[in-house]
Amino acid sequence: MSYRHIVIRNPAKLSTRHEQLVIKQDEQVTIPLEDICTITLEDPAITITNALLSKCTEYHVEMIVCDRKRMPSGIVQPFHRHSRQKTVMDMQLKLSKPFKKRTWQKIVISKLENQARCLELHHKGDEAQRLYTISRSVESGDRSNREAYGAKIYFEALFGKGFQRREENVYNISMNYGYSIIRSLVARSLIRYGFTPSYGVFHDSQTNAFNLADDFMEVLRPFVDAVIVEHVDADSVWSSQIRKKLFEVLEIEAAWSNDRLNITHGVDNMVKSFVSACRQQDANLLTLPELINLNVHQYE
Amino acid sequence: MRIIVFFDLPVVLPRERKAYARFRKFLLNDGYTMLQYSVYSRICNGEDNVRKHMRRLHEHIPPVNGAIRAMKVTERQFENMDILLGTTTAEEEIGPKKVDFF
Repeated sequence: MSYRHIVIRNPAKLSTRHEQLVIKQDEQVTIPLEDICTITLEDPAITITNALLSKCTEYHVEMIVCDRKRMPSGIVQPFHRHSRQKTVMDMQLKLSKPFKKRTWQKIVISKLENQARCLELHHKGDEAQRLYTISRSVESGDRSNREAYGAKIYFEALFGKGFQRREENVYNISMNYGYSIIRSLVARSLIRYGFTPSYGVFHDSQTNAFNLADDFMEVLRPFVDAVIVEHVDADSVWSSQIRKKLFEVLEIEAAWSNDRLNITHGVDNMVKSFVSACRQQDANLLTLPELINLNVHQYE
Repeated sequence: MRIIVFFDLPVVLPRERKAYARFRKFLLNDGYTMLQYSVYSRICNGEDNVRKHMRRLHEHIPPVNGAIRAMKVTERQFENMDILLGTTTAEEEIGPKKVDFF
């Protein structure tokens, strides 16, 4: 089970030797590829060998490529990494409408609850109660779009009145950055389990290759938001410090039905639970995370 | 948590040298780094991970008369190790963190 996330933010030479990632800067460091979950390339001056790229696909290591502004702009993923690719795809394409709707309902409820918990963590009890109320009225397929209704209350409670997602301010930049980290984590996991991420249960954009990933990342968004409220102010500057904090979202401990796992690990469990939910056409089998605190998960 | 592997392997006969090289290569491929000659260590993420790598060690014991020992230590015990002479390697300093920045 891989667990490490490597972020390269300074010029470096990446290569591979003895099934390990070799990072050559002033000093040379090697890390077993087996343990690595993602490698994020932030600096423009990173050179990388093809042998490493192909090893990365072999070990399910996901490589996140960033543009000049150091925003994630692409993901390198293995082409087919599942022994029953076709079976899973057939299953995915044949999912019934009611099942998809119930799955989406589950996701929206869990997202609203997490948003409420996020508000609770930041001492906004009244709004949190409103969100809990909304979460109880979500219908199958979220026909009445409770999600959007909740989001308005949520964002205004979190970042002040009149807050809009489309404006360009440090909150939105941080959110976009944090969400793209989560998104690639979810996409990676889906691919590992043989899913085709462009077929979503709710998201259905023709231009989006990651519809299914976008469905499942919804429940994790409040985790990113909670970190942002903790570490970003309206007048703080977008910096590597913030990026570092956002990366640590992956380590937050959450409750996944009966287990307490960090996000990285939990997402795998979530996708696994989606496989069994699909097989039995029962959305109740889904394991979705519960935001409990912002503590880092410890093994020892 | 870390696994530390100590070994003494004979390198007199060609057959022994081959077995030794094979074992060392296995250690490197499995993610161990050299602490010093014949002492290798690997970071593990929890008990399950330790068990996995211990099993692999058992599968790769070379067929010679030598001695190999493996020990599981916690991160704290490892950090508390006194270095009396020499310096730490860069790999040693990478802790059990889940997110690393370079």
